[in-house]
Amino acid sequence: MTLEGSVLILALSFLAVFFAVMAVETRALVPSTYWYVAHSCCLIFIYITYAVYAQNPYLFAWAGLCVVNTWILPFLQGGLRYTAKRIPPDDRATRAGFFIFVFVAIAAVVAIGSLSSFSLMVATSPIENLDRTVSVNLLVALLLFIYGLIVLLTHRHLYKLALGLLIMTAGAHLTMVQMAPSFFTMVEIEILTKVIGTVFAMLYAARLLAERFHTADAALLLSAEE
Amino acid sequence: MTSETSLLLPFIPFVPLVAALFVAFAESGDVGRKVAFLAGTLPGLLVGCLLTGRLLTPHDASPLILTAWGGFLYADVLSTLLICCTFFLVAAVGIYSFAYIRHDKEQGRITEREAHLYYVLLLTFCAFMTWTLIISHLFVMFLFVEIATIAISLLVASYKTKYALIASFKYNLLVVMAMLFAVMGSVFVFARMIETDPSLTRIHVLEMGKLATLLPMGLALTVVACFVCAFGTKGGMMPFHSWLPDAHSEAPAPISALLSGLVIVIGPFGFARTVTMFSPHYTQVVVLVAALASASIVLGILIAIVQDDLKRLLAYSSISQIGYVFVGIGLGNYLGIYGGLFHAVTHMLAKALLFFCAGAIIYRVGIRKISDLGGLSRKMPLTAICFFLGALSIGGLPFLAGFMSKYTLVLALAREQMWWAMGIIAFAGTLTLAGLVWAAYRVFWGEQSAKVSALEIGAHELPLAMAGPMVVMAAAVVLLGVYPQGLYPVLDSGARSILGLVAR
Repeated sequence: MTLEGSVLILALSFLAVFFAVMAVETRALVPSTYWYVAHSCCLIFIYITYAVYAQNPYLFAWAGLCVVNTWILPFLQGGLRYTAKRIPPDDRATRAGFFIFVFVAIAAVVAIGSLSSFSLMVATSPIENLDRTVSVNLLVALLLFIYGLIVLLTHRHLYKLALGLLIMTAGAHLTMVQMAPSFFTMVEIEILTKVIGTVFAMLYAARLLAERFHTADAALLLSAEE
Repeated sequence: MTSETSLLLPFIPFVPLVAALFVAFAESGDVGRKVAFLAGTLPGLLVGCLLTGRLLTPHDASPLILTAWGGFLYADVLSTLLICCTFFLVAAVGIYSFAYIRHDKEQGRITEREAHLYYVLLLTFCAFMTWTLIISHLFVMFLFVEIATIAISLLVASYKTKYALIASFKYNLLVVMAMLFAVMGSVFVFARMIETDPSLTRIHVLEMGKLATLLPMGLALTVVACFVCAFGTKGGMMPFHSWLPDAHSEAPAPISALLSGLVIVIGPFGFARTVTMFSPHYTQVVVLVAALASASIVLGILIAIVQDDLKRLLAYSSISQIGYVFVGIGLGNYLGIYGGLFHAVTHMLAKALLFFCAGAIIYRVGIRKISDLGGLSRKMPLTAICFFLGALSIGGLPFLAGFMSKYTLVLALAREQMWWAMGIIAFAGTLTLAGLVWAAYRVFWGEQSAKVSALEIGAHELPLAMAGPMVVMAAAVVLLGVYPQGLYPVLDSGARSILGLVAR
């Protein structure tokens, strides 16, 4: 992996995090869907960049499968945009989650910076080098995973929870690409299952609840009368 | 370890899958559906028993494993034991549901189409649960856990009430999130593996023991934390348990039995395949698991005894009981694993029995609030006896199934000199016995409530389809209590097969 490739991946990773944050923090749900699409597009470009610079053809297939995230999931009937139009928006956005994420990110950078040095290069043998240098790309991938987790822990809107899960999944896959790019087998099926199976099931439940109780906020739902 | 090729192994998961497809696409009526369901589960149980018999070896012999498809599928006694449990419980749940779901349909709680889907999902769950148990590729195992989760979450949402939908959403979300932690743990392990062999493309479950020794300590503990998080959530261990009480209480009673008896056992199974491999090398792992499991045992039962909802009480009791299984499996020694497996089996039988009884009460009386029930034993004597047997077994009373499994776990803890954990288990055991017997007393022997007094029960307390599985479970609870050595060859081989994977 060249420095050029590493910097390109880093820029795309930061963009992916930015778009993920925008997708979650935007209150209106349809624009939120488009932010998520932008986030997924970044992931595709990251995989393609890896495939080209690290000469790993598997990752082209991986990038191809991300079409599920950028096209099928948002735009298929029953998907994100379909649901976004049918459920009330997130009128009680939890800003606390965003600030927790910022705090965690700064703390991680300071902690790792004090223990070891950062490397712009994508590590070819990350475990071996973990005690000396930490790839910034790996850190960004882990932060994306943590951001998804924070969204799941702090948000109450069912749509945003589904987004949180998708962001967490993206973080896990990005980490996987960084640390074990040949760990490809069955990942494609896993993506399809998670996205099509789990998220569609969750969105279906969210729509049913919103239809009956006119809210998709978990706290309001619990207090709403049956 | 000695391995043999098996032609029967790949056959097992396909049977329920084909039956699920048949029920889904053939326009079969009620009878056709029942026949397809039984045809999809009973052969699996038979083959599971055959394979278990083939895998049994004498105590001093090397454990045997079966493989198929070039090592992609494998089975040791742990796998086949859980396959037998899966098919047995799914068959019992299905038979019980013949009457229970019909009643729900008559009451307008579910539609004919949803009843149809119910059996499709039950068989799909059975198929993917079996895949989970026999797949050797760790990553694919997570995938099958997720598919089984989707099937179960849809079953939890069967009634489509507010709480059922929220419980289903929460279950799906938390389990898939947990599996992401498992994926992260696997990635860390894999990244280490490809340093020594760049041509590797997968993690074989049977190699986890060897891999545990290759990782540096910091990374090994991170991996263990990821797996504890993942399988702790799937198993409903505190503090990852929040999906469990909602899912158990909102699902139809037979599905609650399945959740409590089988679905949460995937947690300890995953532990046995991953975390246990690290236990002999890191005492921190043993202490971490014992601490979390002990907290689960005590807090679970403390919360359970203050519940007024019968199904919620049983759900919290499951959190407590699965803690025993986690303690045993997490200890990583022979006696601990033996006791853990034994308790998984005895808990499956007793808790399924209790949920079947709760279902019988809901079926007849229509309420599950303990304070609204009372004096039910005169109207429903069979249910009362079955419930009492289940409660006493879970409480660990001698001559019932739960006693010997708990006793084995206490011995295992004594051998590790974990006196504090022994104390916690003894304290929680007393609370469990008192709590469940008190609940049974209030439901069946307390003052008869107005609703119960007005209850008209005909010649039969319950339809045969519901009473049959209850009696079978109750008989099994008593049989394993008076003849626990009947399971010895299976549990012994199971414990040795897990230990055989641990690198010394």
